Amino acid sequence: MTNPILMESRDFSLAYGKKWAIQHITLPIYQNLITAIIGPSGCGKSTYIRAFNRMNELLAKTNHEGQITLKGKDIYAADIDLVSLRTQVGMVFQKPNPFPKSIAENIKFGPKIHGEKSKSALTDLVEHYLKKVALWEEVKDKLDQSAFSLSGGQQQRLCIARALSVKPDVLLMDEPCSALDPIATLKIEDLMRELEKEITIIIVTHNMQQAARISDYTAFFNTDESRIGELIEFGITKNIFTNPKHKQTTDYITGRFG
Amino acid sequence: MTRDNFHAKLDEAEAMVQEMGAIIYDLMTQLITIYRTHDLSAELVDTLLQEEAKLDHLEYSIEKLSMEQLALQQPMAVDLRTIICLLKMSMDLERIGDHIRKIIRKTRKVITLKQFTHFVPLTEMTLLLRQMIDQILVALKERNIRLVKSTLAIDEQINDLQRSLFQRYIEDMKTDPNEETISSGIYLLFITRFLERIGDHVENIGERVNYLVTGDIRKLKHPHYDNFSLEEKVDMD
Repeated sequence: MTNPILMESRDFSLAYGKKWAIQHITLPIYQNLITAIIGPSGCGKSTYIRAFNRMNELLAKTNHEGQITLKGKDIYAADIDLVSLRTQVGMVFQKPNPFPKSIAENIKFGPKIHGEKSKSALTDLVEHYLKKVALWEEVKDKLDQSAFSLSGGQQQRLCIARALSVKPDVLLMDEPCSALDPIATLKIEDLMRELEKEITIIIVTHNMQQAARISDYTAFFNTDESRIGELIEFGITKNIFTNPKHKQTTDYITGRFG
Repeated sequence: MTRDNFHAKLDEAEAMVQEMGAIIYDLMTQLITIYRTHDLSAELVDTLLQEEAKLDHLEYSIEKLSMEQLALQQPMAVDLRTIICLLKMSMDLERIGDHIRKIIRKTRKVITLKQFTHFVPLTEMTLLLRQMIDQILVALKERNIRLVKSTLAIDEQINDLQRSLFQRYIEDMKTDPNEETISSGIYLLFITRFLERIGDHVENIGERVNYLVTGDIRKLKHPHYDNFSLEEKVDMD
């Protein structure tokens, strides 16, 4: 796999106030591949993924050291436009969070903000992105109904479609399936494999089998008494799950913890 | 440890592999005694074949246990390698059992023909193979790569012996082409061939132990794959 590096963190550390949450993380994110971040609770994996579109700053006062780059440019540089950054690096969360609007409006919302005014173009976008997440056939007759009328799995796919509608380069997914049933989970996983052809995905997951099934690269994070998350091992997923180099990784993925 | 029950299952599979090895070791010991005493009654053949049949049951049990654990526990990393390796080792051990069964039957025929002159080199081969089996099982138990390598080195001697015996049997058949010599010569050709195959299976087991410990799928000694790591190939797909 020789895809170019799209995003990269170099010796990146992040603190909430004075408390470091993650430290010294150097990791490449390869274009059009899926990178999974796994690790026990409190290892900083959610903090880390949120650092890729600077979402942590919405939650608390943060400090950082090191760099995260997108196409070579430091996303923490002073001249970065956060709205534009979050357009390029979209996000899907643990619980589906559609807007309290109709199914169609959820998709139209982003393109409208970005200046799309043509009604027919917006209608086409709704169909295009709902097809992309394999939701079109299920909802095409009720596009004007509230997004909340959908099932959890459908809502999550709608949220993915909504994230895609502004054409991001990267999609961050923080535990996107943890609130879904197994079938909905498998549908999302299958969808990710399809989306990978057009977009780069970083996913945080508690479910190791899920990371093994869907990702091309896997990063294992861990923490110790210091409660500061660190990167332990990064590599091609099939190597991480068949022959990890680090004892901590082996212990975690084989359940030999504690 | 958080997955004690699952890890106990892996230990159970490994114990069965060790049990298969112990049965093979005992069968080889019997075979050595037979080559030394020239004594192999029909009753003893039955007893030995019954013993050999246990290998089939053990192999089946290991396969069943492995499939269940693969399906139910989704083993990863060293656990995955362990289960795959034990499964493959059980197949090699079962094949070794098949060879021993055939050797016993052919040996009985040679003894009936009272052709004992070649029993000394057969004893030597069987002794070497028994040592290989013994060592490879210790290597598995200790996860000892060094012992794997020194064990596989013995296989060279087996191959040399087999080649030289092959020549001798053919010479014997040429120089004295009577019915006994030809019949026993053919049986002996088969016996040495089976013995040599046992060495190859021990080699496979050694490669599995190596993979289990290092994660590197590699032919440890193969003329066409010298120092060739299969892992590079695996990564490219």
